[in-house]
Amino acid sequence: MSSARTSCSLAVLTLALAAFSAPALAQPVPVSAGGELIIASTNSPPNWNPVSATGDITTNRQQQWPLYPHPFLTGTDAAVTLNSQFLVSAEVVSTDPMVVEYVIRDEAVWSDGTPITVEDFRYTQQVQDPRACAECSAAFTQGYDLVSSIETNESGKLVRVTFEKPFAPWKTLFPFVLPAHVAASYGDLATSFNEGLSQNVPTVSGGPYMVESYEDGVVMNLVKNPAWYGNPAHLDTIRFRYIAKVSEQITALENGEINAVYGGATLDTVEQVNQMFGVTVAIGPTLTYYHFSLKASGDVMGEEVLRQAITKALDIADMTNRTVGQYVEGTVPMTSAAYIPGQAELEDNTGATGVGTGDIAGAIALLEGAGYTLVDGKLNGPDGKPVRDLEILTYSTDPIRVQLAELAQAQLAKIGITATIDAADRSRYTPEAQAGNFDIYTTATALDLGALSLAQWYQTGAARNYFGYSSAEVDDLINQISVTLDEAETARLTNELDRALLADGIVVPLFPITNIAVYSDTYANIFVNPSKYGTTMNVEEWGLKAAN
Amino acid sequence: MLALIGRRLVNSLAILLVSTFVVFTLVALAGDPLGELRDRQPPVPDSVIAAEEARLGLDQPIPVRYLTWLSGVVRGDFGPSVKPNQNIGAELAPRVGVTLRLVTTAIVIATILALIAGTIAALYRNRIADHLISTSAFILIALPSFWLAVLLKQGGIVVNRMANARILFTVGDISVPAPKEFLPLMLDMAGHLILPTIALTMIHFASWSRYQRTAVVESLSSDHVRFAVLRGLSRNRIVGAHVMRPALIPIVTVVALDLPALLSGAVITETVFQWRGMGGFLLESIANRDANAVMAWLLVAAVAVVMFNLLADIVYAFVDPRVRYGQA
Repeated sequence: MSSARTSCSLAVLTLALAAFSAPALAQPVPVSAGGELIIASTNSPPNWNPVSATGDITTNRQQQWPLYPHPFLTGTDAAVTLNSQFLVSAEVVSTDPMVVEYVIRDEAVWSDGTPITVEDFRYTQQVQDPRACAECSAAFTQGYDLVSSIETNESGKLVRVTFEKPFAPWKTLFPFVLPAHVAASYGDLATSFNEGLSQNVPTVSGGPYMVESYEDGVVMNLVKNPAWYGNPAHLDTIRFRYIAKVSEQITALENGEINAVYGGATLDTVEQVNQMFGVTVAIGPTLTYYHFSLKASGDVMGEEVLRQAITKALDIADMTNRTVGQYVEGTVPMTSAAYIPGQAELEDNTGATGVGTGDIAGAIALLEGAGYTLVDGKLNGPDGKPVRDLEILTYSTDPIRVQLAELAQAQLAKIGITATIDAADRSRYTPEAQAGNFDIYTTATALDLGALSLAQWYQTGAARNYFGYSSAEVDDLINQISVTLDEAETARLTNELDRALLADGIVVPLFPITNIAVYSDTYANIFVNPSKYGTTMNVEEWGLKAAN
Repeated sequence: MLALIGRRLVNSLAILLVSTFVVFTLVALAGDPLGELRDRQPPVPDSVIAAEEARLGLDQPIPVRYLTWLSGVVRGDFGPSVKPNQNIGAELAPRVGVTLRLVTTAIVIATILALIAGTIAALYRNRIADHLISTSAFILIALPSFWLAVLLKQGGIVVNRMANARILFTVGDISVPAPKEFLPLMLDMAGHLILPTIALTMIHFASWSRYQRTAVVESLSSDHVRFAVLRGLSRNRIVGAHVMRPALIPIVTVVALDLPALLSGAVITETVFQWRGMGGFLLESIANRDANAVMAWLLVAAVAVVMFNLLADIVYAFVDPRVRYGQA
């Protein structure tokens, strides 16, 4: 997953830039105890509550990960496993009703010595359940609003959560367990959640590190949590230095002002690190992937055969090679809208449905079979009138999305479709999508929630269903998946859902977004983590390389 | 003089009022400050979005929002920020100090350099010194400030490598963690100040030196200088007392009028060098569509411009006796 580069040969440098298209399990190497690391971050915390609507952003989740206990961890290979440093076990003990039992380790305590117990789980559930706290500004409420009771044993170390109805992605719940005793000092549920935990720098930690000091917009200093109950952390101090632009972060790294940079990989950043010596570079995919989603209603896009022809004419492999393939070696295109390459559950669903194959002849044959005609290179509808220009909505601040729109424009021209590009900035991008002002939408989806990630787009009436799409088959599959607790069956149903969406010509998956970790080669064990929680997931393993 | 200052202040207030309304309206119309929140995956609950709209007053018409903002400003409250934990006034105050440190240093150095270079170029007109100074000035004027700043950073890294020590810094106004002892702390702050100051100074020095050169050339050909020569005064006295002093008036005007450009130049410099000054605040506020924060920046910048223009008027009175006599 990573490689050290100290040679002065550019050829060697290029070869040594280890970039993997699929997530792989990274093995930590021995490190020495002590030392400090300064890692750059583009944003300081917008607030201190990582599960609040304002605080639930990538950089904040990453910075605050070392401060909280987490039931499950996502490995560098995207596999979700029990966090045995915190829990003895976490499993579904009953399916009707669904009951999940978490057993907390006896040693697990907050940094002030207060045991981590059921009360912390109960508080974390309540503030994300609108039935218990309607005023709480939680980022995510799904699953928490299905909890009917939380029971415990005498020690408080057993957390028995009963659900009103099954919630399949239960492992996504409680990513940050909040300290109930600290919250209680701030007042009631809403006050503690919206104000107390949001406005105050955390003084108590349940993770390997705790906040020593914070200077707004400049630096957050973390030191070891003396009451940490898990595997010993190695670095004495970790400092998050706020530098807004990745290019400036890399220059600062080059000048030795910081030790590590982590963020999205772009052609510019990869070229910049290619010029550097004495750094280790790791590039890897995340669980978030680019895709086109097509409108499924209206005068033109409501025609299923046209959508199918469009999805067939678009060439996923070509787009991958011309974008991320320029700077990430061996990039593998998506073959599914539900799993990224490398995940065990992945199936070749695009191959099975003919989506994204760049099959121009096949697309034209499909159209001609439905009465469309190509006249002087322009597609006419079954009524003989030219098909109107299609609009591709893309995001102007993301150069890759703009490039994808341009490539789609060129590829669609081959089947007689003229596409115009609307490159909207941040203020207009989502409102335009919500208003349905597009035919093809260039966007990205995070798959951390599994099939729930697809449901938010494609279920009838879903919050992000900007497409006017509705399918009884898809709705039924989503409903089945949401109550299926067997993982193999979930994978089978999810792949079936994926194929149904692809066959309907509603989505064209492209490739995973890649992240890059660049750090001084005196350090080790800083990995690209594919989850939305980022690189700090194994923060206690970070350290200075042990002397040979 | 007091009446002049009073009239200027009244005019400035009127301009401020109109400009704040125009800018407020433009920022409010520029986009949805909750766009990022609405685009979250998985979606943020509707109740949370509604609560944010109410907190920011987005459910009110723009004129009402402007009046609310204006009445708040009169009471010293800049209004809520898109960033819920951000108190705009408390956030901006230290940033003003950071930017003033950078801009003031740049103004002083650029002015001194411009006076020296412009005067030398004029005194040695069409000779090697003039050609060298003029060519350098034109090159610096042609350089985009962003590019110059990036080049300086790379140059700083090369210097550090050659010295095998970190003398020059590329981000921030102080190291993290900052040195605890006084002397290392001062050296550290100086090391952070050098590159951004050079970037900001060079571009303005170049244009100001051209103004100074022209002013000195004109002054050299004026009657009172010829008369001084005929009186047999020494060269140094002629240049110091009869050439330089009247030539200061144009440069004072240019420096005062260039302040907005200097502040906008500081936005770029602060961005490249990641100084936590007003520039970064403005860019972040614009990116967030944070109308109240943009307005706070505008107010501070406008006050700075008004103050510098007033200062220029006062300096005129010192360097040009005609202004004092006219007032008398």
